[in-house]
This record gives sequence, structure tokens and C-alpha cells, in this order.
Amino acid sequence: MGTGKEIEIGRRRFLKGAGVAGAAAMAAPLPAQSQTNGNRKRNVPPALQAEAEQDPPVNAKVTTQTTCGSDYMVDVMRHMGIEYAAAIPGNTFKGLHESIVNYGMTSEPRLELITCTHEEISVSLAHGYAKIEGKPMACMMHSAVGLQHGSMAIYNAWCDRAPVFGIVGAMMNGDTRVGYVSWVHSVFDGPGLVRDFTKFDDTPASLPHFADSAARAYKFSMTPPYGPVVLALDEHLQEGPLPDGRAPALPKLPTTAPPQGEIGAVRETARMLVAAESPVILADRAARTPEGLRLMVDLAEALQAPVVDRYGRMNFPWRHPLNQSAVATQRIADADVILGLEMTDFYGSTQRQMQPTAKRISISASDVYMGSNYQDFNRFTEVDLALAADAEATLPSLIEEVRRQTTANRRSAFRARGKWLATEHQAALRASREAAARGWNAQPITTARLCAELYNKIKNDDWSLVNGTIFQNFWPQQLWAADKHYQYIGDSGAYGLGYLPGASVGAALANKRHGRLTVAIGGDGDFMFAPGALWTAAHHQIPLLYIIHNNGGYHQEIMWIQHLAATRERGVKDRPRIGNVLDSPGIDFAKIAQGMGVHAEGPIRDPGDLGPALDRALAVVRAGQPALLDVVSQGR
Amino acid sequence: MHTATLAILGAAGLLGAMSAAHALQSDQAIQGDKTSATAPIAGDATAGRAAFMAYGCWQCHGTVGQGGSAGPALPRDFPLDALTAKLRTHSGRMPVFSQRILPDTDVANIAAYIHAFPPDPPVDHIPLL
Repeated sequence: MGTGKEIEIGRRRFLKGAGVAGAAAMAAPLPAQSQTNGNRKRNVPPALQAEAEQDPPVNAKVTTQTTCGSDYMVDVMRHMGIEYAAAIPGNTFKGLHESIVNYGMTSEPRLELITCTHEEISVSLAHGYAKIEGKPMACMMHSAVGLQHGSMAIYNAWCDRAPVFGIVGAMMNGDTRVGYVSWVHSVFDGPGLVRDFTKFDDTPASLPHFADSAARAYKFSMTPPYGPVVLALDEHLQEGPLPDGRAPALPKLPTTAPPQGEIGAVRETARMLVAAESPVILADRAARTPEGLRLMVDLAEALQAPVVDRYGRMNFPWRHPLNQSAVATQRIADADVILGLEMTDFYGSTQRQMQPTAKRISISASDVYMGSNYQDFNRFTEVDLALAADAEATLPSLIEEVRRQTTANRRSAFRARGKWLATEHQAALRASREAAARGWNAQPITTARLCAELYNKIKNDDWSLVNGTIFQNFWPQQLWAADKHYQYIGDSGAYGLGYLPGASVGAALANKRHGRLTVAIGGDGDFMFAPGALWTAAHHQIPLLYIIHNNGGYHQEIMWIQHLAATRERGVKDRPRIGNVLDSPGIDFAKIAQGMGVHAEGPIRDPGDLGPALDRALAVVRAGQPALLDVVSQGR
Repeated sequence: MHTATLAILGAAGLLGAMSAAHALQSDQAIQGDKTSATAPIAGDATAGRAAFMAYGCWQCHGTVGQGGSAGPALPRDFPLDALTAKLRTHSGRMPVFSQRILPDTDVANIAAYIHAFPPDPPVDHIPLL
């Protein structure tokens, strides 16, 4: 070890320089108490006081270095194609932090640090980025407490089958931990906290070990089903010099072929679909990539079969005549064969609607890899044929088999079915427009009006909608035209609140280089979990229009409490609002955003004000900055 | 909105929500009993609006009955007897409102408010649609 020179200084002298200031800052939360009794010193916690003032047992050594492990870590990460690392600083990854800002950001290919204000934002930012860019970015978290903060967002990514490259600092050597805080931030097995919902974790003990683990983590993360991974990196591994002054070799990048359906099962699937009179294709996270979207269209058109999109991803063009999502219940009830592609909840999506004689086929990578403690696998679905395989990777062979098995007679029947489905699609679209007119001028503003106004302003842009739309009544899917993979990326996965602020900034970060206009509509309750994400957007000049769907509280919870109160025959009218409503005072979301340097307007109550406000906000976004609109909206 | 209940909606509820969202398009989900005699609406629409808000009807059905992902649109001609039956005996996700917590007078007022929903512009007159 060691290319560097050592300079000895007394620990007390060091503390007088920088350390005492730090200790004073740590003691700062206590002045009120100190002022009360007039003895500030006595109220400093003994552990901190001792840490700041006691003489060290040995003189500290400050070492200068010309190499460091964390520079090599930067090289490994960018060698794998990682371009960004999101983080709120934490001293257990300070080595990597310093390497990124002084090495990764100043040499090619760039590895940029994205400054965040909460680890949940860092992770969700990486989550949103991955769904647009199709590859992971890194997010760094402080040992123990940082990972604890980020854990909910990791669970979202896990449930959403999104690749995230997580890094958590570690202080493995108790002999070099400095004081109370270092000890409470140390954990023997940090990644154990999230092991139930990560695909891989490791705590490498050397730089070659790090290279192996990083490559393995990246490979697992990007092998369907995609998922988050975490590496715990010891501070000494980051901060120490390179062994013998030489960097280990960079790991060879893996090229992984996703698991494809066994050909016999694929042929049987094709046979059942071709023979079916009323097949239906259900898709949730089927299209992992733009190619998946194209393949979905090919399969549907080969069969002239209806597609019901569960909106986990952009699986099928919203205005394609075979898109029957608007009449999902009818199509499933009509079906004799139901093909489920990467379904989260195949059971819930079909069981009550389907005919008892209907056959179900599933193609899902979740059959290949799944956890057991957290129950995100949903209720067991009794399918007739289960292909444990990635749906997108299986589609080419399935399409080929469908075409091969389709006779002239069947082709004729398919054409007739396709014509009928096209009329059904048009009828559903007309019905959606009529439904959207209900309450057009109402206050609070209807979600239909909000979505129609927004689409009118962005439809000629290369737009990307990056929120799940369930709370907007799926109006975008009902009214807008979308046929590109990045135009919709689904929801959080675990429905863990606090997802959208960070994820939308991450998605916008990925869209920025492509010149796309990123828009998000998110609830007020969700926003309040992680408003600091907007500061990140402002700081890094990430263009994003964030619309607050302001319904005044935790809307769904009011309904649940009211439901229960009605059952118990008490307090239905007002008391369910207690604990669920964000009023008294109402939250000024525009001020929050403005306070972080973001253009913002609101609350917008009059639907007539919406269009002009959108114009002003979009002008800011098109100029490369974030903007927020607070729209006082109907519940759904 | 809380994680746990969102998860409930996300699982079995999502398709239901999708269906509700799309069912509202043609007011198919709630039509009342068209064959039964429709009682005259004698309630007070202004008081009905207050009750509609207080009892939380708006949360799923919208403040003007436009519906949403949690509940279908309400037909403007919702018969009082059908509304009463729905409120008293519903078996779906909507709460069952007994006479004790939602008196008949309030139901009548709510029905009057539903009948007095403000008119909307025809869809063909809305350029954005």
C-alpha cells in the first residue's frame, strides 16, 4: 500500500482548525436549552464534548496521495456506462464523492454528481432515469442512516422492476471510527436492510473484488426482471491508495441474453392464440424497451387481437385501433384465451371478469426471480401455461410462430375481428370525450380538464409524461395520442409515496439530452414527501413541468375512514377529515417551489386560468428550467 | 393517500378503477332502476350540495357527478328511490349509509342536487376535446 507522504500533526491542532467548528455545529441544536440555564458548555452531550476536546491517544497522520481506490471505482462505473450518481453527501462515501467531483466530472467519459436533498430522492431519481434511459445510474447513500432513508425508494424500484445501482458507504474497521456519530452510523451488514428487495448486494474487501461485484451487480440489475442492487463500499477501500500504485483491470462488460420462452411452450401459446375466437393480450411491464413496444404491435396485429394495457409501461400505442384498454372488462369477459405479459396482478386483473372456461397463459420474468418476504408477487394465479421468461425477449419467437400457424381462414377471421375492434376503439374514444366534458367548467378543476388543457399545450412537442395516471382517471390514456416508449413510464411500483418528485426529475434528466419536454402530474400528498427534488431540478437546470394535482389531502384515506365510519354508524360527515386533510393552513406549493428557485404559479382554481398558466410555465421549461403549477383539482 | 391503501388500489383495485374510469363514459355503472316509478324530487338542491360534500359523495363521484377512477359518473336523472336503494344496500366499495347516519331528508336533498347539476357544454363545442 501507499504512494504518498505522511505529515504528523497533533490532533488538538487539527481540531482547532476544522474540527472544533464541526463539533460546535453538532452541538448547535442545543442553544435554546443552554440559554435557559446560562451554561452552554454543560449542555453539550458528553460524548460530543469529549470527542471535540479530548486529547487523542496518538498523533493523527495526514497523508497525501497520488492515487486512490475511489478514482478506480469511478473508472469502473463509467466503464459500465454509468453517467450520473445522485447523492446527498455522507462521509462514509466521501472518497467516492471527491473522486467524482475532481476526477469523474473533469475527465471523459463524464460521471456527473447530481446533488440531492434526501436519499429517497436520490434513489427515486435513479429509478425515473432508468425507465427513460434503459440503464441504471448510481445513487450513493451514507452508511446506516442514508440507506434507511433510501430504502422505501429502493422498494419502489424493486416492485417496478427498475434497475438502480445503489452504493452505500461503510466503516468496517471499528478501530478507525471517530467518535459517537461514526459508531451509530456503522453497521456490520448494511445492505441486509434492503436484501429482501434488491437483486444483489456485496461488501467488497478489495478493489479487484469491487470490480467483480460492480460488474456482477450491473449484470443482475440489467437482467430481466430488472431490479435494484447495492454495494457497500468501505471508506478505506475508497480513500486508500491503489495497491502497488496500479489500478486493477477494468471488468469485462457482460452481455446478457434475457431468458426466452422455451420453444415448445411458445408454439403451444401460439396455437392457443391462433385458435382462439376471442383472445386478449394483457400487458403490464411487457415493453422494457422501444423494441418491446414495436413487438407488442406486431403481435397484436398478427392476431388482430385486442390489447388491454395495465399501464406499467408504455406497452401499446394509446390510439391504436387494437388498444381496448378503455373496455378492458368487456374484452376480458369475452375472452377464451388470455395472454398475460409481465403482469403484476394477473389474478386481480382477470379472475372476476373472465369466463370459467377461459384459458390463461402467462409470460413473466418474475417466475424466474422473485423474493418471498415482501409479497409483491401478488395472489397466485392459476394459469394453464406459464412461461418463465422475459416477455419482450419471447415476443419475436411468439410472433413468428403465430404467423407460421395462421391459415388463410384464420387470417380472414382475424381481419374481421380487427375491423370490429377498431370500431370499438373509436366508440370508446367518443365516450371518453363525452365523459371529459362533464364538469368542464367546474371548480375544483376536473382531472379531465387539466389533462386536456395540458395536452393541448404539449401535443406538438416531443413530450414525455412521467407519472402514473390512476389518480388522473387515466385521462391521458383516454384522450391523448402516444406511440413512443418514453411517452409514458408507469408508476412507482410499490405505491410508496414520495416517488414522483425524485423520479420525475430523474426522468427529466434522461430526457434532457434528447431534447424532450418532460411533464408530470402528481398529488399534493406525494409531493410533500420529497419537495426538495425541485431544488435538484433547479440546481442542475433540468427542464420539467411539475403539476400539483392539489386535492387538499390524503384523498383516498378520507374515503377509507369514511367507509369505516359509515359501517360503524358514526362520525361520517366531518371527522374522517381529521388526519387526512392538508389544510389550516393550506399549503402554498408555489411558494415552496419559488423558495427553491423554481418558476411556480398557483393555486390555480379557475379552469379558465389554466391555459395561460401552462403557457407561462412551459415557456420556462422549454428554456431549460423546471416549473411548477399548483392546480386545485377534483379528487380524481 | 397512504402506501398501504394505495397498494390495495394498485392490486385488485386498479382494474376496477380502470373499469370505473371507462364505465363512466356512458353512465353505464349507475343508471338507477329505469322501470320503477321515479319519485318526484322534493329535496332542496342547495342543502343537497352541502350534504353531497359533507358525506363525501364528491370524493369518488366528483363535485358535479362527473365520476372518476374511484367511482362512476352519476346520471343527472338519478331517481330518488334508486339512489336511496343504492345508498342503503350497496355492496361494492361505496360505504353503506344507514338511515341513522344519512337521513332520508338528506338523501332527498342529494337527489335534488344531482338533478340540478350544472349543464356542461356539448363536447363538440369544446375544441380541446
